[in-house]
Amino acid sequence: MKPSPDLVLNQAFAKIAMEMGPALPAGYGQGSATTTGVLLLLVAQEFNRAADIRAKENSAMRTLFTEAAAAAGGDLGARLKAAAGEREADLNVATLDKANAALKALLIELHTHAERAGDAALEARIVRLMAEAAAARQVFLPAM
Amino acid sequence: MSGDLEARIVRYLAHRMPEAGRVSVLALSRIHGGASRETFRVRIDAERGGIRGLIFRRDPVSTLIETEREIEFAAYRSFMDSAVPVPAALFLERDLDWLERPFFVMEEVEGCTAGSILAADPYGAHRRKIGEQFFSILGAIAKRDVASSDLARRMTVPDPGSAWRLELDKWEKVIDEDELEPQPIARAAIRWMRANPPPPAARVSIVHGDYRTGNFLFDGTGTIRAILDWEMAHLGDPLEDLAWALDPLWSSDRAHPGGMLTREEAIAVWEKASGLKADAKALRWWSMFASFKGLAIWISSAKEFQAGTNTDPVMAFSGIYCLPFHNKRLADMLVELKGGAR
Repeated sequence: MKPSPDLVLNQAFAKIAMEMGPALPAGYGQGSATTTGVLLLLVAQEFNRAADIRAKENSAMRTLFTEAAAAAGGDLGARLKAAAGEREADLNVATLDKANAALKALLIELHTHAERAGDAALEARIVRLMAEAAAARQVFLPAM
Repeated sequence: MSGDLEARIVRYLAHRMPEAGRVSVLALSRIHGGASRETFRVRIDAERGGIRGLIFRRDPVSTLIETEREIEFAAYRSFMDSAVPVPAALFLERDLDWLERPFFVMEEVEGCTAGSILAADPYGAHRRKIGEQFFSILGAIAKRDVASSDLARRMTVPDPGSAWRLELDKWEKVIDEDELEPQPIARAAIRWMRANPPPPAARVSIVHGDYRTGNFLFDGTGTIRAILDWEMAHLGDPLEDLAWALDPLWSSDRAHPGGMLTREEAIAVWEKASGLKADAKALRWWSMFASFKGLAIWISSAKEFQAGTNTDPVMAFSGIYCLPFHNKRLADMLVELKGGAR
């Protein structure tokens, strides 16, 4: 798609937040226009990277599950092993999100298990993984 | 629609203010930013009393924060004629016949503006003056006698040792009910906070619940004229408000929470005004809670927008910007606490 979607969204932000919004009377309409413009800018930041950050998150969780499955053992270990072996059918964001949600639910279980077992090394690994994923999902506001 | 609203307001004021004689509406506009209430600025001309500004705060169809307008109204009443500047709260109306939903009416505080978290420097040359007032007023809120307040008549006064648990339970329930996807960072934070509770509150106080940049009005001289948005007011540990006010979300200037003072300066002003000490261990817990509570609110607002029950762009902004912000903040805190082991 050309012009590229992120460029279109960036230009739409400039048009709405910098030109149309300020031309409106001060109040709800102007504030909503500015916020809507900022939303477009934030969505533009997400556009190119959306599939990439989800695929990387899912891969990082599966790698962790592969390594933690044996130590966890039992039913949890089996489910970790099974989840680690799954792959998405396509790279649509909705497909990646669905898998991501299932993996995150399992991550919560694994984290709780590590805390109960007193496995500080696994806990540390999980919180670092979560922090890296959270950092990758940040979006940034324009200077206004 | 606005004509209909105007006519309804005129009828209501004639009912509530018969002493004012004939009332006409000179101007009616909705104010941006009220995600938990629809807020309208109404300029009226009364036969007896002349021109004055009123603010109508109406319950929305769907709300970002499920709060009782009685609590917010009582909070304003609790601080009328005190060191904490608030607009005069005039009428609380539960009868749906007037404006279809419950609402309350306040006097407008005129000639003022509110800071924005989108602004790089919301207070400019007045940042120090405003910051000193902001944290001093917060200290005064903490100092207010709870037993004699309107709020104490409407809610249970918590035990100092359980204030943290009540709030944590409340916001965990919000996540339980509203999450659109699993939240491993929030869940880890909840477990840490439950396993490492703060010391009992030094004093049970009125807690504003959303004390931050954007929720107060200041005039051109840098004087704070009104503390607004008391919809999350409750009774609890005053450190909850201090931690919330210091949260980094409220300003892009990370060295000056809320775009005002440094963290150390702010705490010193608050301690002097409140007569309390901000215990470092307790404040660390409440700082994590502040980001967790924020996360719960953003999760809830994202759900409302996704479901189409509230499509105000502020709700989408909360989900797209604020939610990842607080997720990262909480994750970084967890790394500090638990990320060192190999």
